[in-house]
Amino acid sequence: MSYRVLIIDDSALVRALLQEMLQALGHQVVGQAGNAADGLQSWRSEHPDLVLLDISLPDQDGFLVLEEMRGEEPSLPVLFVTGNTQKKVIERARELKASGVLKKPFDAARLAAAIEAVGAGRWLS
Amino acid sequence: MSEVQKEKVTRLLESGVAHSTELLGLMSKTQWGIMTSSVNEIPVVRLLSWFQREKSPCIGARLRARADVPLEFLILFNESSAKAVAEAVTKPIEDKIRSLPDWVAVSIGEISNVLAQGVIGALADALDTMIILSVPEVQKGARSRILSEALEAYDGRQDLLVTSQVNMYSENLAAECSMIIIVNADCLRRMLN
Repeated sequence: MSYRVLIIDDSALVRALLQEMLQALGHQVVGQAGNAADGLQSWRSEHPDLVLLDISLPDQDGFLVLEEMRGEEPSLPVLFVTGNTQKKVIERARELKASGVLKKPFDAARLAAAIEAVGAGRWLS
Repeated sequence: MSEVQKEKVTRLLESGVAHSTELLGLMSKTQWGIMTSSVNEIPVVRLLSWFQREKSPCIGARLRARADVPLEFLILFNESSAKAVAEAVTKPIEDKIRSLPDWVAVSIGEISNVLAQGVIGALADALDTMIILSVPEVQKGARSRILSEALEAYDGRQDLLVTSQVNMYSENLAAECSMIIIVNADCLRRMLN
């Protein structure tokens, strides 16, 4: 399955890495944002079918972004991509019905496995 | 801090730093080792005096914990180390990332983020809390200046800090970095209690 993906991450390095890997895996990157406000704007205009979301963002954290998305699109697949894999973070991600948490640093194989898990509806952590 | 508390903090930080070293190895595709590591409880003025002669130019990232845990990370690379590590990390996408203005600083920001998360994860899990760090603020300049800016919010003569300084190196990359973790001693004591 090929996804239309929105990337929300403050790091230009991570955005470039994800874009390269996603394209190589046959997915389409429909938008990229470096902060929550731009990310929410792109989500509303591009209607992606998968969001890759960082937790630490300059303007507000990824949990608040996901809460806002959940209010309007409860079943949107959202995968957290973060270096922060604390127990409480994973619990909060589950409570908000994220699709899973992909830990940084990652390679193309782990990204592919994560997206496959999202497609299969399997929680990834 | 009591001896027991100091021992607990040291153990937590050591396990976090070991994890961070592994993560840095994964990112840069080379092995990193820990050269020195120490935990101290000291006044702000003393910490500043330790570093005041260190004027060599660095690229560093500062990450702050949000809300109720007043904790700061400073991760510092000298200029040649920063370039060597950034080159190693960006190798798979060098044509894309190296066209960005200041790609070394961009890379150091993300590398520092991953390093800090390794340590903060160990602390947060042990204290059964969630700690979200700010995005990295990349700074260039002398180590002493970067440190004094990070300590501006503290009272030089009143506040006691717990600091952990870790020096890491990679032989393959001829690179090294320092991680300084700063937390107010009173707050840390409260959390440990």
